[in-house]
Amino acid sequence: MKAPVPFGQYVPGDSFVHRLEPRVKMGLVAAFMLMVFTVEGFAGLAVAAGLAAIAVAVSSVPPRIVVRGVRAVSIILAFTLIAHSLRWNPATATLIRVGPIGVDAQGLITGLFFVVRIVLLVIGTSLLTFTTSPVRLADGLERLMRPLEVVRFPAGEVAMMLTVALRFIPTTAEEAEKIIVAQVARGARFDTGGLIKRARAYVPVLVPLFVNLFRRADELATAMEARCYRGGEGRTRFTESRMTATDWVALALGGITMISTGVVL
Amino acid sequence: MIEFIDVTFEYQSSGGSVPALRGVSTTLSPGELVTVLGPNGSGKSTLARLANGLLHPSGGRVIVENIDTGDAEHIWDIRSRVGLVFQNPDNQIVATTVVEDVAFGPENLGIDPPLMRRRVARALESVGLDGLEEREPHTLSGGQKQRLAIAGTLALDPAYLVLDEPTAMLDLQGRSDVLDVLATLRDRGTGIMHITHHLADAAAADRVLVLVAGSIVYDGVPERLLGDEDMLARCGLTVPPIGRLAAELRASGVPVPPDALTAESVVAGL
Amino acid sequence: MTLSLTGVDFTYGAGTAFATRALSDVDITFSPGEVVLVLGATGSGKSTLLRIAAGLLVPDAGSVTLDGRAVRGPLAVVRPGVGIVFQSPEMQLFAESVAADVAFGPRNQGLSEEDAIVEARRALDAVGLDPEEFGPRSPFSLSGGEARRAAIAGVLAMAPGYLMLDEPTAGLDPSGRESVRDIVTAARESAGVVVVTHDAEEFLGHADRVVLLSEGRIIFDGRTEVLVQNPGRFTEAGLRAPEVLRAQMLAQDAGVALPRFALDPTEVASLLAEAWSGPR
Repeated sequence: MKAPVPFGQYVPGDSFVHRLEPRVKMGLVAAFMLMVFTVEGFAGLAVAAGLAAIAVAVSSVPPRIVVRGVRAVSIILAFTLIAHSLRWNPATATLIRVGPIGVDAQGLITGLFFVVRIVLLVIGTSLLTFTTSPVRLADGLERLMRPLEVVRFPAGEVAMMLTVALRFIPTTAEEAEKIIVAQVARGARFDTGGLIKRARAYVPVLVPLFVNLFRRADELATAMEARCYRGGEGRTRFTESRMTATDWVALALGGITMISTGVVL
Repeated sequence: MIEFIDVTFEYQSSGGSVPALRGVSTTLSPGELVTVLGPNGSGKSTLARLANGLLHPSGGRVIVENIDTGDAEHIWDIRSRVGLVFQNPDNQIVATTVVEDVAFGPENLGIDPPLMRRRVARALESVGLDGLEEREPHTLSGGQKQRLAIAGTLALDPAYLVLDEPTAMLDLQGRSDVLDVLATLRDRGTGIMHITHHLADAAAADRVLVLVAGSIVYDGVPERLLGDEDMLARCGLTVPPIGRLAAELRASGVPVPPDALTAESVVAGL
Repeated sequence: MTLSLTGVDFTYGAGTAFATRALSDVDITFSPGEVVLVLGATGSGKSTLLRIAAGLLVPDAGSVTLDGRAVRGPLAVVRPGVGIVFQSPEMQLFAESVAADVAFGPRNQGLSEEDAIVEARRALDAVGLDPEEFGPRSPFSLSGGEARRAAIAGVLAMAPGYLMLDEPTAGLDPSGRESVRDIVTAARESAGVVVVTHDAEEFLGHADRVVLLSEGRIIFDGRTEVLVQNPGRFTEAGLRAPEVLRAQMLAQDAGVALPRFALDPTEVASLLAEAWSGPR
């Protein structure tokens, strides 16, 4: 059955953030990342966190979904914190000493700084995918890449590829689940033995999955050709999103705030 | 009109060329519903792919409204005149929302967004999917997916629709919904070629075509085929129980029409 | 060897906002040598029932017992267990040869390579695929009907005490459907057979017993003859009765008095013809 919204998936809505032009959102996320990377102290991170909190609030994406996204990287966060604060030589540890191991206060602060930074990066980028449908995202990417067509970069084709890939992710996932259950019903086990044995156990899943994918690809290509697809040239778009005054203002204000914060703090 | 004139088609395989169609001649007119029957491997799918120039005949000609499908210059005109719908609805849906998928064809033709919007809305309305514009295709039922695939070709504004076993993977509800759509489109003047395994689908047709081993063994009204057991046997078609009931009733003097293959049509004779 | 489900409940995504009840308080018993048809509309819970009966899903409440013993884990690994043929089973074929693919199940059951090959040949014979001709071929070179039969052989090779099939004839042409029907009815010699489908037309004439499932509940469980006399039950389950039965229902609604209902066209024809000439 349908899994609850995983990290990074679109959460349908009609908020201010949802309505922003995808290119604007990508630009703002880029500026946000830049800011998070350039600020040198907790003051800067606090401003970034404030901006992220406002964005989440305005986006009407339920905070628990945002938290779930952060939780997905909790191992990385824990590792970051430990790597920065743990000392094998207790002499250099200033906070706690337990036998041969110690915790360093300065390291703990540095670790926390990096943890907050990663959390903010995750929130920033996932907010983009939470509030932008895959189609609009692909469309935005295409528009961003369009200038590259001058150097014969196939922006339209790349966007088409992205759309088709997005379209077939749920279908393929469903199919994989069906094949796994069918092989389990034939006595296949995926949870026993060493790494190699387990990897081999997936052969009866992966082979039919790929064979079906190739068959799908072939049929889809035929169907697309039958519907007059002949590459990106001369195509018009159903949802040709346009930059509105709001988009320009949001881009300008947001961009200036974030870049100046990054430079000053 | 689509004209197949003495069409031969051979597939190239490792073992040499395999004939799929041998000297097939037939037509499809606007507003006509033609049902194509025949066992697997009889050349039905090849016939569909020849109709819009996805395949080109090895011998003979296929003409769509006076244009040869081999005419490379007009191939996109031909493809937008002849819509093709395939068996597996999953493998012909391109986009991630219903409305975007229907728009795929018109986008390819470079149609202006305002006209595109009207066409997309009309196509969705003709298959009864209006209201589901923003749904993701994988959340639709099989029957809805197949109607979406039909809408996707209708948005190209075709005069003809060729469907290759569109109901084979559907449940009974999905099947009857698709058949209803086909009947409506025929009444609106679209020429429809419906390739199917279900003999019962023939009853609704204006004309039935039976292919066996790449040759047409029957091309005519459904009544004559369905009422003639020898003919059916020669075509390799098995009569469903309801057809056998109709035949038995006829034999005992009850006036059941020869093309009665539904409970309703059999009882109407009583 | 009786297979019983008692008081079975099942909910997908229990405890989340996506929770959907699939089965409610299902009691059902299967016996060897019997062909049982489980009929239900899309979403009636019939595929879930199959997965639970085969030990692939664990019910939220209630129990599954085989020979009086509680079932834990997939029943495919035991011989004789419960073999399940899913919808479009040809989608699971993977090995380099048909023989190796069919031997996959028996190998997983712990049979030696030689014994598994013997079982594979037996199963291929049973589905009408000559082991000499089809055994060495790639499963991806088969036609749709052949691939379906090879996939069924893959389950038969596991010598199931129960063979369960989910929409086994879907998507096949008439001759393919007929050969699958033959395989299924022949399987009763060695196993209890359970066919799950929404299409009553396809298997009704071949079933000893029919179970009607509607919204996760069993609303009918009885002999086929009994159901034939009560065709209204099909409608209650959100299903379409076979055309021949529908014709009799329509005739009766139109005032034709029928002494009983029947499935066999010849018998129906004489019943209808008699009743038709009667009142006139």
